[in-house]
Amino acid sequence: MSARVAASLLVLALASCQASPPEVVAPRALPPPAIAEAPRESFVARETRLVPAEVLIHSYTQIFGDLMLPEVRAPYDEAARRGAYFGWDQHLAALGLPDYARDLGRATQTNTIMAAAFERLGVILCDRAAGRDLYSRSPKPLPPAARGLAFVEPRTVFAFEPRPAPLSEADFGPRFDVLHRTFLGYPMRLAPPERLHEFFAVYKKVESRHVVLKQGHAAHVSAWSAVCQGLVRHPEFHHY
Amino acid sequence: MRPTFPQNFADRIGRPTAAVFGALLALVAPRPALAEGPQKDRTLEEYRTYRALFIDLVGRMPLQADLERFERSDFDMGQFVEETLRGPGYVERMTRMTMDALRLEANPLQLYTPAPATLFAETVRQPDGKLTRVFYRKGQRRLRAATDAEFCLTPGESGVDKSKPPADVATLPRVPQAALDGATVLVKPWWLYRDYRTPQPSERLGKAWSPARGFYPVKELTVEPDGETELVSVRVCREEAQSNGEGKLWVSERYGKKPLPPRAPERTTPPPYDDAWAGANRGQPIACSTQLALRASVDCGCGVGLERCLPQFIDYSPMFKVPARDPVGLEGAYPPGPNKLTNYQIWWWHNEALKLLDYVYGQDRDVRELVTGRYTFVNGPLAQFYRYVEPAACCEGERPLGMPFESTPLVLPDAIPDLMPHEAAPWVFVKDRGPRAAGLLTTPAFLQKFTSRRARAAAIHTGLLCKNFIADTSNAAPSKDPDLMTRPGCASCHTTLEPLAAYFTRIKEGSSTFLSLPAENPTCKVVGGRMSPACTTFYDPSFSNGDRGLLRGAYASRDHTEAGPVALGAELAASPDYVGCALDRVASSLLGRPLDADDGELRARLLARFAESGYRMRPLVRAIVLDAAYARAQLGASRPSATGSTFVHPPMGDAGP
Repeated sequence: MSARVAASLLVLALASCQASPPEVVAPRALPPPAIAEAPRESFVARETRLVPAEVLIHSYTQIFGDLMLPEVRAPYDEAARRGAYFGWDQHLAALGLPDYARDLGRATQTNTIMAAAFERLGVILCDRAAGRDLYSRSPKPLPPAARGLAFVEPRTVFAFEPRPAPLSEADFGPRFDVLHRTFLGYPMRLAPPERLHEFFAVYKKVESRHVVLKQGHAAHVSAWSAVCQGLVRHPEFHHY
Repeated sequence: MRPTFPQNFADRIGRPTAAVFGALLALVAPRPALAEGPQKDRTLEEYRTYRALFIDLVGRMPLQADLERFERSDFDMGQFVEETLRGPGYVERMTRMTMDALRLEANPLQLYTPAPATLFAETVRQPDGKLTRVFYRKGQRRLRAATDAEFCLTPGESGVDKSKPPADVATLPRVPQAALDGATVLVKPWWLYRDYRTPQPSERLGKAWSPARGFYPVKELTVEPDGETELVSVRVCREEAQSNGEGKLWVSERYGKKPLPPRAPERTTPPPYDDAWAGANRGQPIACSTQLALRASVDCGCGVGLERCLPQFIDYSPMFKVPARDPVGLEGAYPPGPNKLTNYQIWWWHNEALKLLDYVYGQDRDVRELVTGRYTFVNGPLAQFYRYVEPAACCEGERPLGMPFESTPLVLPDAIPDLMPHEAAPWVFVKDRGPRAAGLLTTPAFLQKFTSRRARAAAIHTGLLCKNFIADTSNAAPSKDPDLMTRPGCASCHTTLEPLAAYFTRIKEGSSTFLSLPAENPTCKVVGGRMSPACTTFYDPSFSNGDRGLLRGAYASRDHTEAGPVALGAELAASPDYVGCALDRVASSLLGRPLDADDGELRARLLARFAESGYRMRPLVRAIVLDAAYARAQLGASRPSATGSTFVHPPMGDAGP
């Protein structure tokens, strides 16, 4: 009997596939599409405060070493000349620095402009650091003129061997821990456990999508830069 | 330290994998340079507190080496705090805190160019056809009737006619050589030559001299109007080029004669009036740094190398490069850019205030010295300001009232070291500015930031006493009562504000001139319901009568008027509100929340420590950051939780994966 039933169902199914005008049906309400939820860490909200802009800039300077270099500043000012974006001065103001002369107080909460400013700054500095740290197996110290306001040791940010070959999560973990400590101030082992997987996913995603341009970074360099950018944009980096 | 994995991580990826992972991690993990001793596994709470300490006291986040030190088992938190309290980050933090409250940077929209100390430049065509600039002071008295109190070349000679719109330089006539030689001389000025005080200056800017940070004249000041030819010397009107320290009071004697002498045909404006004070004291010596010397002498100029004056093109274009802003602790964040002369002064006033704060916090001085200290710091530009520019800002309006010059300034010019104006780098400690000095309260940064006496009082009330003005609910009914301490709707705030403002009655609004005018002046009495226009700037008709005029602001408190900012500083220093405000500000900044009624015990403990230390900030900050309240604050709990655990995880936003 089961064979008959199965055969009947098969016939019915095949019959339903035959070429015929589509049946007109009355519209009906569809269930809302599922929203792809970004992975989020479990948390309990706590009161935090924004790291003062001066501290962030000092930290950027110490971590990256070359924040104040004219070559970093130049793209901002060039963009401002083109009318494309803010200049350097406006960027620093957007980071939340107070303006005593105009009685503008210190920014105590983030805002869109501030987030964008941090993002651009982070992208530039992470890219620069990745290019500086990850290409050479025995990196040379920066020339004195390029050290900016702070002495920059070779491989200051990406202080590990990069391993350009496909990276496993096991390889990724200890290297990510170096960055995690640098930017968030504590070892990865104390972070929510999903963080490692999520950042590794970011790494793999960037690496896999990367198209090597003539003047672009290698895939693994771009991927590490993306991880770095994620950390400098992390709420824990900007709050305490 | 060798990184370890949390238990749940090992469970998730499996123990064998974790073991392999751990071995790999051990191989590739960076070897900390300081990790020689035994390590200690720190908790997240401890890491957070450590990071907060770094942010609060070091001024940056901890780096790898800092974390490695922290992870050592012999790490001593007390010692660490002690070290950080002696570092520049701590001083910056305290300075920022005070600057955030007082905002001691004057508005750049104001104009501060006292005529006796400002050399304007007009472009003229030389006999050889080339353009050049001639520097002169507005209002400079000259023996030549045709140019007395005007540009030293007549419109006929130079083509510069101040009664008409500026002429196109292409149409300027060639100045006759005789006229040019007769009216002007060549000078090697302070902004071009480091050794301008020597008989033959030779160390020119950009050649034998690379000036220190902070002194960058714009290119236009160093080249001829063609934009290319380097200036070797500048052309200056003869009277302005004089270097006497003292001149003689002079009057033209063109007035008081009948009939009046004929007006010089070349003049475009009427000849200037002679100063009445000078007329009564003609021939008497006058210091060349005063405004009276400009108005009533012909033998006072800008000094050797023009050091008593600052250059300013006639269109008020930028003259010196200074950063547009100066965030505390971020020197160099803003590159120096061309700025107007006023901004140049504002920049140095601001830096003087920063130096004072740095000194008080860096040397761990009694914070009450911020309102009582007679010391300050100056560099070359500030020395020029105090010695020449500030005295020159007085006393155009005061002279008719019997105050020909500033006889009792807030800062005694003689107390200021004789630095050259271009010496921007060396900052010299001035032990005693004079008997009228009162910490920040008498600095130009404060007085030019808050230009009216009420603004100054309000800044003190809110910034130094942490109090607000809150109006009562009474209606501001129409009233003609000039006494704001009694007027309905005004009284609730002005009862406090006016007596405080009275301390600044004798500090001229919009300047730092000390007014030695009498508080009650019979000369300024009200006659027929009116007061002499010469008096109304300084005397208030509303509180004057037929016997005497009363200084503006003095009505609220005659005692405060006479006592001045020094007494205000002393009153603040003796007030528990002042030290309490200093405590509250630093505590709330470090704890990330204001102290409230529930913090009574904590506040009392800190206040006792503050007083015990002689109101020095370092012991107070040490007490705060080593208190349990500080550690709890980093966990987001202002007070201990009921469960005993205060740890919660920070929020994650969309910005982070």
